[in-house]
Amino acid sequence: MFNNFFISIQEKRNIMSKYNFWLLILSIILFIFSLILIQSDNFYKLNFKEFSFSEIKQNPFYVIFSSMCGFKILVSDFLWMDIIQYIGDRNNAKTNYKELYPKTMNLITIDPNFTYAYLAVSGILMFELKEIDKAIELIKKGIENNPKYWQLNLYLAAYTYSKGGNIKMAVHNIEIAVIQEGHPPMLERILGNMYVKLSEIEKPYKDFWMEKAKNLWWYMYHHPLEELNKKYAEEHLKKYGFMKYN
Amino acid sequence: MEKKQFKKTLAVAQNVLNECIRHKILNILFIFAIAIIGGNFIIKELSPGAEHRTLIDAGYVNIEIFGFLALLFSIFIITYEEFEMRNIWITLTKPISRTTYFLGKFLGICLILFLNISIMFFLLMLLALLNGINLNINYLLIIASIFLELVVAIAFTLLFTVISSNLITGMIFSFFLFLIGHLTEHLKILINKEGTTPILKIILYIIYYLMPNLSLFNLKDKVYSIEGLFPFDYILKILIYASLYSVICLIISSLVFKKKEI
Repeated sequence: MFNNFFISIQEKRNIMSKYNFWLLILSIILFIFSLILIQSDNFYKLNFKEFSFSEIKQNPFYVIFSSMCGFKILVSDFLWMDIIQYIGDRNNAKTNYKELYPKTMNLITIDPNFTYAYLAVSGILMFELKEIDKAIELIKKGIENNPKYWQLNLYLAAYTYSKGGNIKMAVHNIEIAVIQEGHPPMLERILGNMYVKLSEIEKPYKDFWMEKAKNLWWYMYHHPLEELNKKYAEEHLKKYGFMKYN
Repeated sequence: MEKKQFKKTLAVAQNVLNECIRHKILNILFIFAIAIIGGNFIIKELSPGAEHRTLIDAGYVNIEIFGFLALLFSIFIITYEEFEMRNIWITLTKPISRTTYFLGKFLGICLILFLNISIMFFLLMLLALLNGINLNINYLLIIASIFLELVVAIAFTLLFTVISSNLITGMIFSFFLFLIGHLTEHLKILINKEGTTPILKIILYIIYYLMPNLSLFNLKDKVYSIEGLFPFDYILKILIYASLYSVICLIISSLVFKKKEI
């Protein structure tokens, strides 16, 4: 009787072990399948990129350390704090803040989406340190990494205009900015004025620029971001004969 | 029969939860609160222009670190009491299988982790609201991904504590695996690199699939690079991944635990 009892326990254990074994095999197969499924995901393909050798070479400590701990953006926040401290130290004025640009490059290597850093540092480079080319280079990198962040285009427009009065470049960048969501309504009015100015400067292409202005004003009239935009558009459409006075 | 087993598992889980609370694991929350609230004042001074971002980033990293510490401490305390103080002898004299006991232990530590993370997240969101930060559902999805990551960490830590003869060794292994797990994704550089021999490629692929890929759960680093919400299907996929990885670790652990001399 006891023998039978122990045999049945042993059988039960064997069945359980087999059950566990097959469950383990099944789990492993499903697990590999799930990893393949994740790798085929669009979100994964766009956002999970292994670091390139150029990144590691440029900044080995920060890139590997931040990736290993799994908090890249916090490391970039600390790098930003370091930049702030660097700017705040008056002694660095003696060297014209020569480390500012490399430090910012370190930061954007870790987090290319730190948009505020592009705006603030390029502003300092442009207006305080008069390093126009570096400022433009930085802001262009920002646009490359954040194509939908309209402030960067606006800053680039301002810089290129300040550098050599390149109004066409400014117009091109503001055109990109006004397509993006969340841009200030005032930007559309500025763009309209710039089209008018270009039509006055480039006489042979007057019709081209006025056509662009007309399209913009009609758009502003029908889809105003604020009441002032509609009023502005109406005034200009009437002024240039695109709309009849009542 | 299965209902009975489930009840037993829950009883063990509840016991683990009570034990952790009794050992003041939740005190870790006070340290978190001081770190995050104190950090908030420093951040305002040190990070002009990016205060909101830094507060949120620091908050999530703190949650992850303190969550990991909480699970390490919980496992350490429970396992220490089991083996060093021979508490497990009393438990196993009751009509409960080792597998059920092990599952209960896993569930109990998951519960204590959930409790910890929920309170920390609530504190962080409260602080964010007080600072005028616009909150959205992404913040909740990030915390869910951190929880999943830490559940995987619980599973492999339990596996190490069962496999290794020494509890401290198990903890150290687990700590390093947690760090290296974030780099698994980057193994693909070596796999795809020109000049990697086919044999090496196979070995690297095996390592790639064996190691927990914790960077998949790292949504907090992606919060500024995406537009709108994180895709729910991706969250579902990492949920499946975490579940399967945990199941595999638990099956191996319970198999080893069954044969372990206590």
